[in-house]
Amino acid sequence: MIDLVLAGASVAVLIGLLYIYVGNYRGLRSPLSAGLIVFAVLFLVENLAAMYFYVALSEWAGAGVAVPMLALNAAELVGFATLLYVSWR
Amino acid sequence: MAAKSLTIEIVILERSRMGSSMDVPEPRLPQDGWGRRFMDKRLWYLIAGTRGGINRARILWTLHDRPYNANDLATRLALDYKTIRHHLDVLRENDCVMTLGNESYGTLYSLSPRLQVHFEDFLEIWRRIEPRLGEK
Repeated sequence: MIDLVLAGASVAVLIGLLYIYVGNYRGLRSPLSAGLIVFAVLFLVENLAAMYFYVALSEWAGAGVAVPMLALNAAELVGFATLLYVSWR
Repeated sequence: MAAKSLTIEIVILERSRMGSSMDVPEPRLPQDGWGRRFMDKRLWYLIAGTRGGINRARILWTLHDRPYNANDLATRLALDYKTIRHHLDVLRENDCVMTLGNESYGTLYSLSPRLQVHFEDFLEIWRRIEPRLGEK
């Protein structure tokens, strides 16, 4: 359950980053801003997939999978949140 | 008579003060190449990687003409005064702009010597932005 919340929070943070990157891309059209968008979109897909698999696999895979996934999601969320924090200024 | 000469003296003092604070300092050329690499990366970070990057570029382009205060910039760029102040603070932290004279309401901002030296780096980015400005 906490897995889902963390992945959902990552999705929200990534949408915030995408908002910044798309806005700048519209005025700039540079390879750097295009790359930033690809970066954020792929991680967005990754987190949505993580949420889907968590629900889909919860039938038969128990805490053995959920606990490592929790650690990964937590580290990911802290990373994205830091990036959003410094980019939002 | 004494009062008149005092007035003249004040006017002269005032003019010389304004004149000196309006001058943009001579750009100092860095001895080695480190300044260029860092300014280039910093501009990309400030313009492509953070919120409101395009407006930051518009501010730098406007200040390239001559120094302005935050209020004039807000009017010229049709942006909120507080937004302008925020961008100017960030740009100043990153040594892209500097204030002329002491800090007060009408403080003039100009490009920093370092950005003036590496202005070509900014122009490379600006060439991408300028043709798209009318589209929004």
